[in-house]
Amino acid sequence: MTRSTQPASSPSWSTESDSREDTEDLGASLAPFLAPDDVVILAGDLGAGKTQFAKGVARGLGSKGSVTSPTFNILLIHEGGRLPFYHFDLYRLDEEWQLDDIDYFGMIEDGAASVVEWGDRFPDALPPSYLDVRITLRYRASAKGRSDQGAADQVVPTRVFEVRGVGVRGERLSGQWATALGIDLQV
Amino acid sequence: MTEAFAGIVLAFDTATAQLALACGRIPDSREPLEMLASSDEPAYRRANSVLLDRSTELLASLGLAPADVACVVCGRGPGSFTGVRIGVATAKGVACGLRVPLFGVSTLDAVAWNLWEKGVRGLVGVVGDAMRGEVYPVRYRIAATGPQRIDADEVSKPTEVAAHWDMGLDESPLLCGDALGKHRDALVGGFAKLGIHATVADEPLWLPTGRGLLLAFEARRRAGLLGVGAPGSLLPVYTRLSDAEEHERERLGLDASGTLPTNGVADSRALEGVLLRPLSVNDIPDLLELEGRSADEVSTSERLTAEHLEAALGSKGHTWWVARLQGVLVGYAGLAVTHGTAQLTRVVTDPDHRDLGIAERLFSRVVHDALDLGATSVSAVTLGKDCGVDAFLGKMGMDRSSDTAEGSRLWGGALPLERMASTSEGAMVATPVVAGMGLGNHLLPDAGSAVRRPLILAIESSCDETAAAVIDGSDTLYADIIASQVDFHARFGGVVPEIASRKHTEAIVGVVEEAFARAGEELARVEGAGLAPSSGRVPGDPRPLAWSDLDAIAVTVGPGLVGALVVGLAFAKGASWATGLPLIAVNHLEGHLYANRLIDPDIKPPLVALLVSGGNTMLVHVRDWGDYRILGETLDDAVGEAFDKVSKALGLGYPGGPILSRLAKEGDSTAIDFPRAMLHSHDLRFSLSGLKTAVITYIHAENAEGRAIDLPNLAASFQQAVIDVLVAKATDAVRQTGVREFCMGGGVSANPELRHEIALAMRRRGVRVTLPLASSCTDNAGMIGAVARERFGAGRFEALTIEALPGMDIEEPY
Repeated sequence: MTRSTQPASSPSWSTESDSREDTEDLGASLAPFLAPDDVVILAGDLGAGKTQFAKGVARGLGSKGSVTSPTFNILLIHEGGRLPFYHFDLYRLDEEWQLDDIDYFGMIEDGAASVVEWGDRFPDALPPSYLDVRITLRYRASAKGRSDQGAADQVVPTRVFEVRGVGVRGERLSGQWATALGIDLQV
Repeated sequence: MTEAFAGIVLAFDTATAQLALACGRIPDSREPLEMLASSDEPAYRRANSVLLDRSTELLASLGLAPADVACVVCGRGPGSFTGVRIGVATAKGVACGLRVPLFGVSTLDAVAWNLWEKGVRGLVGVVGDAMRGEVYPVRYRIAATGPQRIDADEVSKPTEVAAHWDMGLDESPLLCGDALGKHRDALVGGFAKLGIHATVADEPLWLPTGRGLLLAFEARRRAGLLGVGAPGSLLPVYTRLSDAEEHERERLGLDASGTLPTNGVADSRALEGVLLRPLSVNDIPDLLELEGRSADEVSTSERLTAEHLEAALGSKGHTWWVARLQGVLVGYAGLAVTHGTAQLTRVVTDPDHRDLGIAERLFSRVVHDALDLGATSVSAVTLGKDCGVDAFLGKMGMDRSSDTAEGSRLWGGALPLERMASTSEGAMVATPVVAGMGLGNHLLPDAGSAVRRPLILAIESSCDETAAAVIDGSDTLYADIIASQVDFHARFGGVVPEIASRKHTEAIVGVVEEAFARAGEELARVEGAGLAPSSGRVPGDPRPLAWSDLDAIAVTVGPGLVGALVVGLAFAKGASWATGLPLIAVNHLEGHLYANRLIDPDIKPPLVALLVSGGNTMLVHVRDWGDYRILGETLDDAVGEAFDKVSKALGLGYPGGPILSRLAKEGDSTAIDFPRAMLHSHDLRFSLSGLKTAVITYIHAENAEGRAIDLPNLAASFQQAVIDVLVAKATDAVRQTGVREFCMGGGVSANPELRHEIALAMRRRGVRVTLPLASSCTDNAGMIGAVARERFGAGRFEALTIEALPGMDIEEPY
């Protein structure tokens, strides 16, 4: 069982967010382009804003109900929107075979739009086509000689979103979303 | 013994988009099966809702009813994971409910047998859809006598199937199977590349049929390959097993997936777990046989005899348990309680099954019983040279008190043992099936009390835990069993994944049987336990509970993980169909609310409840039982999740709650000033991702500055930040609603500091507080039973078409 062939991917592009609202709006701006069986792989550290982004996607799709982190449940299903919205979080999984356990591969081909937090945990288990969104926290150099430990909540990092389309659908999504955000990919 | 049955056979398969269903009859165990009727229909992802009604219709068309079924046959896949799981769990429920054998058949074999019946002969490739761009390819050579399987089940890329099969150029296979829908070109193209012309069968032949399923079953029956048909041992076909599991199978001498017999899927792949039971008279010969083979165990000087054991069975103060693995007695343990001390008589395991943790489980079981028998301490004597037994007792939390001149060692310990106590925090669970876990003794029936109807079996499988409970009309729990999945993992050489929802499929039968056995024992203590006249149960009868003793079956339908929920639900529906007992659906979150009522029957709405667990953080206004309004919930992470993530970020273990709360005891909660998110938001919503981010940021910053992190201080400061917000919002909620009662639920409500502070804050306001037992905060089935009892009274029963509701809302009445 080897998966050595890497599907074609388009050049990546990036954008930034300075607040939770920004992050959510970014998710909402992707939603109009999502089609059944599209998969968005969300990568990024704890606290990077993955759930916040997913919340925006749900809003953009018109899903009902509040979107909270699916870490414990692994999959939360949100109906009522233009498409069913499957919100995965693979954080709690340690082994690739557990993906079968939760019927991950069956679910992402079930006609819904899926956003997969920690979807990069299992590189061999990536679908043939997907949109890769990688969120990195960039801390501004404001921590100059901070000695008071009491200010742990003062640092507000910028979130950098790096986007790359993989496979036919992924590339298409990447292009459409970039265009909608006014980002020129012909550089 | 295996094929010596006759009667009506019901067969179904839900592994593909087609619901395949058939009914046959075996007139006599030596005679061939007769096909009676079949029905196949598309049921894409609807199998759970239509399977049982279709079965009823099929049987009815033959003038038959569920009770006429003498044997169940189920497609084991490979196929859609959720689909197979629904089929297998339903089949288990039906077979258990009817107390008939259950046999598994390969879904791909069923396709091949259907082709045979349709007159196809020669080389055939059945290629099932494995999702993620992969397929399950298996070759068959179909002769006049039937298909002969050439390959074992495996996973492959569609383009690689042809090369993999490595056929001569004269071989031109006929392809079928549901993978053709997605991968026809890739499959056919793969053959063309090798100069082979592969033909594609007509589409109606791609899927398994009921008749094909029965034919495949019949072939295995005629070949004597059925096995015993124990419902608990049937498992779906897993083709992507972890290495750890493969190793375990090899170690146990079971078939590795690559060396399966060519005539089908080996049933021995269905690894049956070790089942613990109280000793019965029938176990005595096997026990004495093992006793004869083992000399080096915990023992008194004299050998056990049949008379000794029979006397122990009949007298109070003795408890004996046996462990059986696939029917074979592999261990036993016993103790006697006198004057408050439990004297351990034996803990013996078969030398061939030493590392399965059987001894620990047996030990826990008899010691649990000792507590029930009023023991406050346990003691043991070990003889001869130290051969591991002493180490075992030490590991189980006993202390070596003294050595005698004769060279024997005395061991003792106060009950409950430290090690047992730690199980409530989930850190060290010694038993996979923890009988009575989460039960205070006061919840057990008092001797002399009577069973009050209705008697309900409740099943819970919404996330990580498979659980079953038996409860009566006065909220008395006769059994409350949780199959802690930790033990399954411990078996697999130290790989301890945090979740494994498919373990539900493995555990469900054992957990329900355990609940029945336990409830039977408890009922025996209750005077006037003459339940349904049909059961013939009389006071003092220690037999396991029977379905006929029950009034209803209850099950969690949501919210939760869909792949986990469907197992409990499908099993419960199957059992309901088989037994005719009504089915009751329960909301998992409502269960957490009712857990409080099990502690304090006087708790009365209106009240406010704080539900805090790994998946939920919400304040609920309970205006009345069944009438709930969410006052506020988390906007992002749940509290338990925040604990887990901080614990993981610090490189500490899982679950994070107990770990951090233990650390916090040593720390200064004012050391680091973490944000109290939304403390002043003037609403009752929570946000924990900000706090989580602040902690992670803090860790990064400290690391960057090269400072060591004071773990106890960090844990205490983090925990305090969480508690401050929870307490503040909870008291706001109580003030806003004006209620005089408050309660909690969910795993995090076991946190001692949170319990302490919230109780203090509420009492200061004159609000009555009820807290669930720390050990029953986590998911359990007793709480599901408590809700079900009320729904039973209101006549809220479900049709067998009900499906799992992973996103079930607590505010919506159901």
